[in-house]
Amino acid sequence: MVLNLSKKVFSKITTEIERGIKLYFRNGIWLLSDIISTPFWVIFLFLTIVFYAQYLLKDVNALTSLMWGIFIFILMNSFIWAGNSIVQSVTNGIVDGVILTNTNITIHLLGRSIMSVFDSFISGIIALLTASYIFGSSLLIHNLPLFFASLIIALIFYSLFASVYAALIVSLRSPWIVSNVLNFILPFLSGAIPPQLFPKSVANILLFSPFYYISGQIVSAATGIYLINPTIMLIISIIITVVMVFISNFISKKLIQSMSKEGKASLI
Amino acid sequence: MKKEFNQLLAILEVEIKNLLRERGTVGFAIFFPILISLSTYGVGAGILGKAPNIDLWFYQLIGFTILMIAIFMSSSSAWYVRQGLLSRRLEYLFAASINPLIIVAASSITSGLMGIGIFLVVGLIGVLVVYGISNLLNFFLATIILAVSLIPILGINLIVAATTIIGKDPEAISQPLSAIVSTTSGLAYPITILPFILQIIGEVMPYYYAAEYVRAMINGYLNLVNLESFPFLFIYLIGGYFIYRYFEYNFIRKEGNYGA
Amino acid sequence: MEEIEARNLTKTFKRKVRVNILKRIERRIYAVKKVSFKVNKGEIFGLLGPNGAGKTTTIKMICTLLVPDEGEAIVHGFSILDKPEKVRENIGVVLAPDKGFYERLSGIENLVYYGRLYGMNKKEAYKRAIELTQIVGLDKDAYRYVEEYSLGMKAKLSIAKSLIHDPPIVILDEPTVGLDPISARRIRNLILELAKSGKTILLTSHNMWEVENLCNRVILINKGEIVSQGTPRQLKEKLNLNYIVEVEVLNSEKVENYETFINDKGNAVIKIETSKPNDTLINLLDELKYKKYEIGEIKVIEPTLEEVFAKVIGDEKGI
Ligand SMILES: Nc1ncnc2c1ncn2[C@@H]1O[C@H](COP(=O)(O)OP(=O)(O)OP(=O)(O)O)[C@@H](O)[C@H]1O
Ligand SMILES: [Mg+2]
Repeated sequence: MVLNLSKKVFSKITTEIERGIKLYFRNGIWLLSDIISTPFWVIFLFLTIVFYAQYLLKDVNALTSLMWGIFIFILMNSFIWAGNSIVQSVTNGIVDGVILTNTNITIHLLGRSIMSVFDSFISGIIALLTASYIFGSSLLIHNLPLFFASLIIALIFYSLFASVYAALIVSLRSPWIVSNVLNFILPFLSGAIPPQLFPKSVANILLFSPFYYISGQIVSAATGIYLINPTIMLIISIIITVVMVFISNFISKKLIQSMSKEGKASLI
Repeated sequence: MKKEFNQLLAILEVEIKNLLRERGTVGFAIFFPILISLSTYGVGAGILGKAPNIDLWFYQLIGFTILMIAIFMSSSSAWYVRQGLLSRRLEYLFAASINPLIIVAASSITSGLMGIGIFLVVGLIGVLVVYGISNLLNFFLATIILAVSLIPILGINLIVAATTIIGKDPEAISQPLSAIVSTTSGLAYPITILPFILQIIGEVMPYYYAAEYVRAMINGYLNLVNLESFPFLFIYLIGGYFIYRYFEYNFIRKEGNYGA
Repeated sequence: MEEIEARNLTKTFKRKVRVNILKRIERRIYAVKKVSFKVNKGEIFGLLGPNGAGKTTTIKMICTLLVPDEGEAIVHGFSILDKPEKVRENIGVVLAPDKGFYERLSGIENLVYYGRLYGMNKKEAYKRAIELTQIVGLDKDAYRYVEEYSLGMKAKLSIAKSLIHDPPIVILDEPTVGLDPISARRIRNLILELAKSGKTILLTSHNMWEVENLCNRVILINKGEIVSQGTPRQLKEKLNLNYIVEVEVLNSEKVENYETFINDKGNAVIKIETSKPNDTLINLLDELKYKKYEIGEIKVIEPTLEEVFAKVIGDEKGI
């Protein structure tokens, strides 16, 4: 019974992922747009952040941390917009169609998240290359296994996060505004701005942010600069991701409930 | 000519009404430059261990505001064309004897007006905080300078509108433009710290001048010598016009490519 | 046996409306009020009503997309409240015929996508999708992106989508809207065939004529309430609705035994109210021919839905 059920869920997941991949590669213009834009955004972010402390442009360690900061920024950005895409799915009537097939909305959003995975992968690599070429950041990865582990954890976490986020914003009138603001706040909460540049007491505030354990871990694994013990960080990141599984499941059920009660998609 | 003017006014009225209903958008556009500039200031303070020079904050505030306006204008003309094509509203307008240029111009003027409104609010806050009331007159003159500087930018919007006709995905088209403009136009940092080639890109585009003129005017440094390159920027308006006409004729009217 | 049974379905929408910056009031829209009906297996059942009558809302409750405030429905033996998953497995739904598709996927790919979400494997889903696109008459268009579809093509695709998992019950909200007469007829024939093959069909329509030709039984809804029900024939009889037959007679100002008026060309026009327009017309034309009248324009005016409603609403007692 359980086996059967998980087989069904698995097949739904592959269906959604296949759909996402197909759509991603059919949107050639977006790919092109990303490839052109990314190097510019990277330069913009670098220079904007060091505007007040231009001497950092000579500090390779800081530049390398900053590069990975931008890498996670790109990743999170992509998933925020994945969450934002629910708005379209609802107006297109696709969500109704999916509900009628007894498919969980979180699974449905995986199809969009997979696009984000590709997206962050491609843009991420462009960003790394741009940063190392223009600013001389180092591309050496300090702890490769941990880096990949943290990357996978982050991809799972943000896929789930996208679905929770989607459920929260779907009824708003201008959800894109929230997405833009979040897009901007999240990097701060994740340690995208290298925490070692700040006094220890300020940097430690990050330890209260769950996003830090997920995204910041990628940066730390790549640079070898940690705020806390790497093992503890890894364990916490796994716990947070597991909790996220439950939260997203709960929220997506709630969303469907409220859609069916009020005749429109809304949680707040 | 009188007919065209009336048409322009009619569309403008509808567009502005439409925009004013989007309170969220306007609020966001005002709030965002303040938020970003304060954050980078905070980060700067954190890194330096002391409060940086407040002039630097003002520099970025003005830059981010103009960035916001630029992004807003280019993405709104892209969206206007795309949505117009999808909802077939443009088809109706094209069928009516309206020069399509008037339509695009009206939408650009609307977003330009909104941009000036945003600048008035954000800039006023900045000027009052940094300079007090002494620079207020300069600030209002700077607003006029901004308005004039936005005219060549209209030309770029026409090009965006034109490419949207073929590219179909408006965000995908306005995105690279925003990226290039943000990076090269001396908005968040002086272009002198950019690699040479990017400086050149910045200097041929009108956004750089808008930001520089506005800052100089507020500080009272602006004089005619600074303005020498300004007339050349109007090439954008003329170029934009012809490119738009070419696309409109070849891709919309000839191929019946009204989106859909 | 009943495949669908609705009992006192009721839905009220509450919406906050801003009166001014400070004040928001709650507005209630009574979309559906105590609607009950039963649909038998193999039957085509119609919900008929003007815009905003509550047809779509009723249908959405039955297909579990909307939870009723009161009342209940049993679909294929399962309660929409307690066993919504089971209900969903057994129904195919068309809500808005132009919605629910990915624009950048082809018709076939969209169908396969939904088929697989319903639990089919890829091969089955493909086979079924191809079969269905032929049945609904999409043919080659099935391989184009939905982005390029016309409204009618999308409508056909939605019907195919509703059948992808071969459900015993098919629920269609205005299935022929936007279709050209030939396509609409094709869809109607398809619906008739589905019913013949044992499927149960619940559909809505504005089109009296369509309902008449398709449905075994109909309910008439207005402002969320059932105002009349029965077979289309019963409904018409109850309402005493008649067609109007008009026949122009050339070069003549009067025709014996018939009521006439003079039209703008100066010819007499015979006007007859009848419930059986075909028979009436044939008899009349025979008679006119026999009497050697020259016949001009012929018109048959159908009773429109507006007339039905004018009648129902006009009659306070109900029917
Ligand atoms: N989500 C909603 N929120 C608020 N009101 C709604 C909602 N859905 C429907 N209504 C209202 O409920 C009433 C019934 O609508 P419904 O869509 O069921 O009508 P209908 O009979 O399907 O009409 P049509 O023939 O135009 O499709 C209408 O007054 C409509 O405005
Ligand atoms: Mg309806």
